[in-house]
This record gives sequence, C-alpha cells and structure tokens, in this order.
Amino acid sequence: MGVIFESIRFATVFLFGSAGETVTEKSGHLNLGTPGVMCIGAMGSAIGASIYLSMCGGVGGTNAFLSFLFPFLFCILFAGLAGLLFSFITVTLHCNQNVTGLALTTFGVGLYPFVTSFLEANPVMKAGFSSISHKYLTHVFPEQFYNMNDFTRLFFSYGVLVYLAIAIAIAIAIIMKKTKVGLFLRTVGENPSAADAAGISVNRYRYLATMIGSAISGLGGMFYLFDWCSGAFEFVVDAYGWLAVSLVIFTMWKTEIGIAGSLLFSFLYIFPGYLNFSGPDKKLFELVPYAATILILVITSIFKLGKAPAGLGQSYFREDR
Amino acid sequence: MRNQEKAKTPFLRFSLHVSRRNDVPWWIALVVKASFIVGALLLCGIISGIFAEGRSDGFIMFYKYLIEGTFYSPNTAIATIWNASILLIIAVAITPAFKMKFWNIGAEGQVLMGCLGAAIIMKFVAPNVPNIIALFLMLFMALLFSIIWAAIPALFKAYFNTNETLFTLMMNYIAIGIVAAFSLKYKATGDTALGILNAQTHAGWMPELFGYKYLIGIFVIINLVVALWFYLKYSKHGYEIAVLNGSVRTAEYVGINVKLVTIRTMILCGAACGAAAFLLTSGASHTVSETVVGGRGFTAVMISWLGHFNPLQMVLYSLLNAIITTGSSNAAANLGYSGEVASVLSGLFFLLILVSEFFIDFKIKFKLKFRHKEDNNQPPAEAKPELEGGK
Repeated sequence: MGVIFESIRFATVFLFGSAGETVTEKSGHLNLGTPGVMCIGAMGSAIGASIYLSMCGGVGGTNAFLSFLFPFLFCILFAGLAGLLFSFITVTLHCNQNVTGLALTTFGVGLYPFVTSFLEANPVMKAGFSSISHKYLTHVFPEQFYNMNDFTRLFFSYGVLVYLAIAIAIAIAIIMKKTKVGLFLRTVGENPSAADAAGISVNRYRYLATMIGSAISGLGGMFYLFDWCSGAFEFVVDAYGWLAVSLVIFTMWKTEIGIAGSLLFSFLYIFPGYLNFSGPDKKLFELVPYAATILILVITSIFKLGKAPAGLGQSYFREDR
Repeated sequence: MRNQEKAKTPFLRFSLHVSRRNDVPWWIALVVKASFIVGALLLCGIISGIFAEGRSDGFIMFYKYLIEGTFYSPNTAIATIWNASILLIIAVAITPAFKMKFWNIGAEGQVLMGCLGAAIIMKFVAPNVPNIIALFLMLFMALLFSIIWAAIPALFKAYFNTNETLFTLMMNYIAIGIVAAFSLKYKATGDTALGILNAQTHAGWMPELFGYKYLIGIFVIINLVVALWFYLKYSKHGYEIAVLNGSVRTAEYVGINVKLVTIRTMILCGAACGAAAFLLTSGASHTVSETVVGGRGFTAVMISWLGHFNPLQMVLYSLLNAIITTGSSNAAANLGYSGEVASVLSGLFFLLILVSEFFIDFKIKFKLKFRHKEDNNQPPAEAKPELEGGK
C-alpha cells in the first residue's frame, strides 16, 4: 500500500516536468533546459516562501492559503522567466536550441543551490519552510477525512500540487486535441513555414508555449522542494528533470498518457527501496526508465509511428525558406 | 475611420529588421566576440561584488582569486590547462558528428563508458602485468567501450532514422547508472564508492613527466586535436562529412554512402571520446564513478557548437570555461559565498557567448520614427486619398 501511495505522490515531479516540456516541444522547441528550469522553479518558490515568511515575521503568523500562493506565484514567475530567456535566445536571436538548453541547465542547476545557500544560515527560514510545506502543500484535505480508510488515503491524502498536476495534464491533453489554439500550436511544431503561411504567428506561439511550459515544469521543482522534501532545500531536483524529458518521449508527446507514464517512472524509482534493494542493484533498477524510453524511441522509429513534432529542435527564420 | 487609425499610431514607432548575413569581416566578429567575453567576465565580477559576504571589494578581489586559483603556481596552472584540454578533446571528438548534423549530446556517456573500460583493466589486470601493457590494454578497452556506446545510436540513426538527440541523451544516463552500479559493486567494504585504484603500486597510472602529473595527457591531447582537425579539413572523409553538412540529398547524388559515413563518423567520435576517457582514468582520476566526467560531456557540446568547428575557438572557450569554473570556486571559498557559483557563472558565460553569435550572424536595422506633429491635424481622408493606407 505504501509503495502505491508514495508512487502516486512522487509521480507529480515527473508529471509537471513532462507536461510542461510537452507543451514546449509541441511548439517545436526542444528545451533541454528543463532540469535547469525545474531548479529555477524550485528557487522561485523558495524565494516566494522566504519573502512571505519575512513579511509575516516568522512561522507564527502564516496563513495556509497565502503560504501556498506566494511560493506558487514566484515559482511560476521565475520558471516562466527562464522560459522567456530560452525563447528569447532561440526565437529572437535564432540561436541553437540544444546549446541554449544545455547552458540553461548548467545555469539553473547551479543557481538553485547558490540562492538557497543564503537561506541556510537563517534558522527561521528552515523552520518556516517546513511549516509552510505542512499546510496545503503536503495535505490539502483535513486529516480526519483522508484517514478514514484505505480508499480515502489513496485518493485524498495528497498535497494540492498533486491534484493540480493531474488537472493540468488533462487540460493540456484537451487543449491540444479539441481547441483551435491546440491545433495551431501543433501546426507550429510540425511545420512552422506552413503555419506562418496560414497566418499563425510562429514566434508568438513559440514564446507563449515555452513560457507556459516552463512555468508548468517549474512547478515540478516546487513540488519536489515543498512536498517531497518538506521544505528541506538541500536536495536538488535536476536528476528528475532529465527523467521528465525522457518521459515526454516515452509518452509520445501525450500528456494523458503522461499521467500513467509518470506513475510508472515514479513506481520504478520508489519500488527498489521497498524491496530492500541496495547498492548496485538499485542503481541498475534506476536505469529502467531510460532504457524503456530508448526502446520506445526505437520502436516508434522502426515502425514509423513518428509522433515527435516534425519541426522539433529547428529554429524558424522566415528568410531561410 | 481616420481617427481610429490615428489612435492606433503610437507617438514613437520603433521597428527592428533582422536579416541573415554571411559576409561579416573577421575583425567585426572578433570585436563582437571579445566584447561579449569581456562582458561575461565583468558580469562574473559584478555577481561576486553583490554576494561577497560583508565586504565591498568583492568585485576586484574576484579577479585576484580567479587568477590565484588558476595560474598562481605551476601546479595550478597545469591543472587548469589539463581541465581545459580534457574539455577540448571531448569537444573536438564530437565535432565531426556535429559537422554532419548528427546531434551527439551523448559525449558524457561515451567518455564515461570508456572510463569504465579503462577502470576494469586497472582493477583486475593492471596489478599483474607490466605497466606499459596495462596502459595499452586500458587504452584498448576504453576505445572499445566508447566506440560501442557511440555506434549504437549511429546504427539506429542510419537504418531507422531514430532521433539521435534524444537517443544519445538517454545513453548518458544508462552509462551513469552502469558506472554507479560498478563502482558500488567493487568498492572495498566500508567505503561509499570505488576509491583510488592501485594507490600504492600505481599500476595502470600514467607516468609523470618532469614531476608534473598531467603533462603527458596535455601533450597527447594537443596532438590528437591537431590530427582530428587535419582529418576534418584535408581528408576525403572530412570532405564527405562537409558535404553531408550542406545537404543529405547532395551527398546521396554524388554517391556518398550516407549510412556508412554516419556510422563511421560516430565510431571516430567514440574512439576520440575513448582516448579522452583513457587519459582521464589513467592520468587523473585513477578510479571510476558516476561523477568522474562531471558534466564535461555536456559542456563540450556547447564548446563544440560555439567553436564553429574551429579548433582555435574551441581552445579559447575550453580555457575560459576552465578558468571561470576553477577560479570562481576559489573566489567563492575566499569571499564567503557558495561554490555553486561556478556552475552559475559557467552557464551565464555560455549564454552570453551564444547571444554574441546573433550579432555576428545577423544584420540588425533599428528604425526609430517619431509621429510628426502635423499628423494630428491632417485634412480628412477624402481630400488626400493617396495617403490612405500609408501609415
């Protein structure tokens, strides 16, 4: 029972990360900066939390709703800014996406511990982060409700971000399939020249998709910091960022499959711990998600199921046609 | 109608026209690049000045510690050059692949697998054979492992057109996992990881030259880089890669076997990565762990791309990156902020160099237009129809 509960909870990191990256990739942007973006999102939420804590003077006066809202908004803001930086360099300045993404990852993965190192000296912040995380962020429903039986524990005992992640993944799937915006976005990712000829502003779509996608990915960082680690900022989320990138491929660019896929990835991560796997076996077990991703990649290419947006990774410049 | 249009016209209009250009004089490119590099270094100092704990000279002192940490003594200087040359050899190793538009971002994994191959020999064979044979065997295994790791994505790319960016990216993490498992499996009981191998006997260790640890490695790398550059520039293979860079169709029309060139070039990449891995294991780390390459594979991707297949530029960037990362760690330790600043500054450095590419590759025309005062009291549209639709 515990392993399922933990898997569902931890899946949120992958779900946020991959849902955001899916939106980005649908626009034709291969943002390899996702691990960095998730770190920057975590950093943003840490900044938001510390601003809120210093506003209400410590742990005493915190309000449950505001202590969710501040980290959330700052997380979206900073992760969105990272997306803006990525799109500015790749769209406006026409630079290579892979290189920009890797540079953004180097930058973000360093920035998070650099910024949080200033919080370390402050005991108020450490206590405050833990207190903030124990409000809406780890359990949104009251304890007497979710502790009634196994069913309620399985479905209602999570923090607010877990439900938000599932809602966002479903919303993205619907927007992609059923709305005009989704159709236009897919067109931009598949064939930017055709989209441009049809009067769709390629640049605007790419900017917005990357910023929104990054903001969603960044929430994965916030979840990791405030829910999974209960506000302990010594742990860095970057390794899961790469798994989120691979999950996008694994789910063939569909966020509704992403819900199941993230559960699988998180199960594979949590499971060895429950089997008392240790040392080398655990490390080998952790390879399975990557190997499975390669398998999917190979199978889709052999049988020409090509679901990757055709314009993925290519920058678009009207004059180059 | 007229009023509406007027309301839409802002007082100050600003337009930007961007067009690609290929005819940049070399000195303009040089000035742009140099000013961005200087800007990046200044930015590092400014960040240091802001975060230096309780002192106001963080800006100036950053440069002092930067130089102190990198070129103060012969030992630190050689270590810095060694760091730069390992970056350089990996960057040059993946350049042939980039040149034929094969996005090999798996250098991290390819080098790491080579390190594993070398370490296996070091652990199990080296203590029982003469050192020169051990070194040869290590080189052989490093080449073999790296080539296999590079050839797998190439085969799939050649035959099934599997996306190589994502494939090589995933291969990195599989390599990291395998190495981590190996290091845990064969560690001494009580240790947390596989420690330095053969610490007493120095079996399988690269000998020192003039008492300095990295000199042989640096010397070998310089030769390898020159050889690879000649290969790309003057050999038939290099020419075939260049044709592929232009267009795959052209290559097919002139009778180049695209599949063969793809696989052959990636084998070459793997071999060069294997050589880097051999030098890294025998000359520096003397062990293998998941962090032994330490992200150099990813940094090398950026260096290779930003270097535009030009080895001199790659030398410059790898040296600057080595200086910034080593030097800023030293500055951080002395100025009281977190050593993670090294990664932040290195990321910023590459982002700025990337941005500088734009100002070289593109021509930018600014247009600033003020709306004339007389626009406000222009005669009605019927009187001057030729103005319609103009502004």
